[in-house]
Amino acid sequence: MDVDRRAIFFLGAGAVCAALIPATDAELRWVPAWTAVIFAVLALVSYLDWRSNNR
Amino acid sequence: MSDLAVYAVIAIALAFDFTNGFHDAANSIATVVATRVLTPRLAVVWAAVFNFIAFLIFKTAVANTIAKDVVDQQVISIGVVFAALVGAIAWNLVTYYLGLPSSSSHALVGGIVGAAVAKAGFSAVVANGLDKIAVFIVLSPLIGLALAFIAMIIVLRLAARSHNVDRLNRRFRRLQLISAGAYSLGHGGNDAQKTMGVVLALLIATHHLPPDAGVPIWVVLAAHSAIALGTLSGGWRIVHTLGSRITKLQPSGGVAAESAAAATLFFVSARGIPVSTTHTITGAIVGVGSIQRLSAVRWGVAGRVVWAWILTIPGAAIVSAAAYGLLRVF
Repeated sequence: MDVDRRAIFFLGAGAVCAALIPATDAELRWVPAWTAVIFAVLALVSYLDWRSNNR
Repeated sequence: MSDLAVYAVIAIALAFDFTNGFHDAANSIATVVATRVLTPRLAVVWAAVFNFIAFLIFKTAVANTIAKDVVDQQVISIGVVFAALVGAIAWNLVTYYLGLPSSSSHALVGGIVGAAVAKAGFSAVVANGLDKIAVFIVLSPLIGLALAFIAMIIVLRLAARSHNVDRLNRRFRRLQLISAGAYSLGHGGNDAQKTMGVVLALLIATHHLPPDAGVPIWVVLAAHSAIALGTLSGGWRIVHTLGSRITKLQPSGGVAAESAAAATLFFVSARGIPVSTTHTITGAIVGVGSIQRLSAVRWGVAGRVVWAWILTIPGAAIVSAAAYGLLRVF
C-alpha cells in the first residue's frame, strides 16, 4: 500500500506523548502536550512533502 | 557500621560512574571522529573536559531526585545502596553481554527500587518521583527525535540556499566541536548527578549528613572526575560507534543530533529529571535518519532500545532485590 510511513510514525509518536499527559506531574504536563503537538505538525509536514513528491 | 564500609560503597558508586563514562564516551565523539574533525584521542579529551566542567553549569537537582524522590529516605541504608549498585552493575554486565543497549541510569533507578522494596515492601517507593522518571524515560528520546528532525529541516534549508556546499560542510565540521561539547556537558550534568544522588542518600542514611543536606562539593567533584576519567580511558577504543550503528551520519546530521540531545539533556537536568543520555541521543539520531526516509534508520537497533526501556528497571530491580536478600542471609 502506498502511504507516507514517516507521517504515520510521527502520528504514533505524538499519540504516545499524548497518552503520557495524564501520567505527568501537573507542572510538567505541558512537556508531553507540546511534544504531541509538534509531532502532529511534523506528521502533517511529512505528509505534504510526500504528497508533493508523489504527484 | 564502620566508616570503612561507607567509603567502600562510595568507591563502588564512583566505579559505576567511571564505567558510565567509559561506555558512553562514543555517544558524544562518534561523529567528530567519523568525520575526522578530531583524532579519537583528542576527541575523548574534548568530551572528558566537558563532562568534568558540567558541574559549573548544572545545579544538583537530579542528584536530589535520586537521593530523595525515588524511595523513602527512611528505608535507605548502606545495605540498600550496596545492593542497588550490585543490581545495576550486574544488569549492565548482562545486557552488555547480550548486546542490549541498556541504560545505566535506568538500571540504577531499578536497583534502588528493588533493594528498597526487598527491605520494606512496595510502600518504600515514592510513586510521584518514580512516575516522573518513568514518563521521561519515554519522553526524552521522543523530544530528542523531534528536535533533531526540526534541526535537520533547518540544515537542509541552509544547504539549499548555499552556493558553496564545500564551505557549508567545513562549517558543519567545525560546528561539531561545539555540539559534541554541548552534548558532553549534558551527559556529565545528568549522569554524574545520579552517582552524586546515590552517595548523598548513603551519607544521609549513615548520619554523615542531615536529611535536608545538599550534595557536598567533594562528592560533586569526585562524581565528575570519575565520569570524565571513564570517558578518557574508554572512548578511544570504541570503533563501532552509535552514529554508524543506527544511521550513517554526515557532519550536518551530527551537529543536529548532538544539539537536539544536548538541548533535551539541559532541560531535564535543570528540572531535576534523571534520563538516559544514551537513549536521548539515540532518539535524536533516529530523527536525523528519518529526514531522508524511514528505511535510513536501522530499526533493529532502535527496537532493542525500546526493549531496554521496558526491561531495565524491573530487571535491575529483581537483581538488586536478590542481592539485598543475599546480603541479609550473610
